[in-house]
Amino acid sequence: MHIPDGILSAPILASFGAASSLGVIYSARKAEATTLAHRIPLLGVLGAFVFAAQMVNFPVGPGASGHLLGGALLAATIGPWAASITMTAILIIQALMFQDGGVLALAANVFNMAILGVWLAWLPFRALSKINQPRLGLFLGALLSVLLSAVLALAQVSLSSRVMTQGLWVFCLGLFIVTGAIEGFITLAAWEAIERLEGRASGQTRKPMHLAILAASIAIMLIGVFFASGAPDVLEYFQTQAGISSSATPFPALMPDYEWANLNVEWLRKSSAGALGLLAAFAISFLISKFVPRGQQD
Amino acid sequence: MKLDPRCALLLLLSYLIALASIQPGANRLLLTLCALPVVLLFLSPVPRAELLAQAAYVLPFSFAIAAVALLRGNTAQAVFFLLRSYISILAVLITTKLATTLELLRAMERLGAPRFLIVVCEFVIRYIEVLRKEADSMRLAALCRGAAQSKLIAASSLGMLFVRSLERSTGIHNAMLARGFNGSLPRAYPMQWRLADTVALAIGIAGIATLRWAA
Repeated sequence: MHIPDGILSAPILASFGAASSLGVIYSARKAEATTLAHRIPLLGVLGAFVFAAQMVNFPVGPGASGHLLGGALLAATIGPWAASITMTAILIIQALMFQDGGVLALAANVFNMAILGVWLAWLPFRALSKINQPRLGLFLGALLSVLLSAVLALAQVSLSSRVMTQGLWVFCLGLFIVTGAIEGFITLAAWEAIERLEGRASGQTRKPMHLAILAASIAIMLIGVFFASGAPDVLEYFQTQAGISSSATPFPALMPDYEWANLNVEWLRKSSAGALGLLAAFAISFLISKFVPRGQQD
Repeated sequence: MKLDPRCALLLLLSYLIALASIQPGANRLLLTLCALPVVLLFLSPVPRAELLAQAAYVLPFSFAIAAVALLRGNTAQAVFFLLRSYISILAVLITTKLATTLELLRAMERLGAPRFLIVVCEFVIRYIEVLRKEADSMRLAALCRGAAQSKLIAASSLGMLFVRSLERSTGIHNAMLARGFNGSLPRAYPMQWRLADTVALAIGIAGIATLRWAA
């Protein structure tokens, strides 16, 4: 998500430069007013913490690992103004010391990650904390923060280079959703570990989150039906091109082409098949979590 | 004679703005502007081979965009993005070799960046290595306990690192208060803008503008 120099066009840089400058100046004033001067070391050390935390890899799948990006965790722990300034400091140092992101492109990177990213993480966290769901708020905040920051970064690159295709957009969106979900889980895990270490969790009862995750998954799936492309996937495309596609299958499929053939309405055929698959996956995962001993799950 | 960091920063920004203003595909104009950092690279006391290799760090990101342009049959545009991002980072690398990060941060402060932000940046730089070493030793200890497959150990490591960072910041705050800290860091060596900096800035901007718009 760190855009280097040489990619963005002058109008994009100028507009986001103006927005970022105003945002950072205002955030610095608010952070200075709300953060006592003695907390400057806190912001600096937490900025260094984000760098160090990126060394701790989380296993996120077979042979794959991810690391914390940090915006949501900072917003939840020190508030949005101070988090914006800390993230801006991190981005400046990454650009100057590690050449991660451009110097002129800081205009866009600061807006995407330090301003928009932090506020997108903070708002769901704050709203859901009020109804006693801080964990769900933190997860949603981290997901939205990464997802929408990345989408904005891609839009900036797309508007500047004019090389992006619709297919590439869909591929990148899928990638960003996965990255956002990983950030959400890591942020949540780190938050819970901090609560455990600080003893804040004592006396609190944890509400199960699996129903909320199931509801969110169904909602995403139902919305996705309307945006899904009708074009064949890459494998099918190449099978057709190479002339090796075959309609003969060794076993009759329960729901061929991810559709429930018994229904008449097209969107209902697709969405009901998706919902059934989702429920089956959820039920299997739930049963595994119940029967596999906890020690083996970790 | 070393330039004032403000002058170096302004020249770098002018050059990057000139590069950003070139339309994709205008490769001849881009090549003309590339001459500036290349000449500077051979005139400055910097490790040339190291910087040329280090600038390639940016290529994977640019290559993704160049690859899409190539797939759409636009070779000139692909070359343009690769070259422009490479030469941009080379200019940044030369500047950061000639002026330290702390000098550049103070130059930003003198040019109007919020002081609060710059002080936070200075603290981050001061404690990156400290916390990185701490995270590294924690990671090693966790790996010895089989953390490669455990989300729980990874999360606990992060939580512990966060709590230790908070404790460390309290200790730093107390130590700084004992030394009379009042919210701002004193500057031991104030910057001095000399006539030579004005001349260098004027010649530099005129040269960049000439190459960009008159060439």
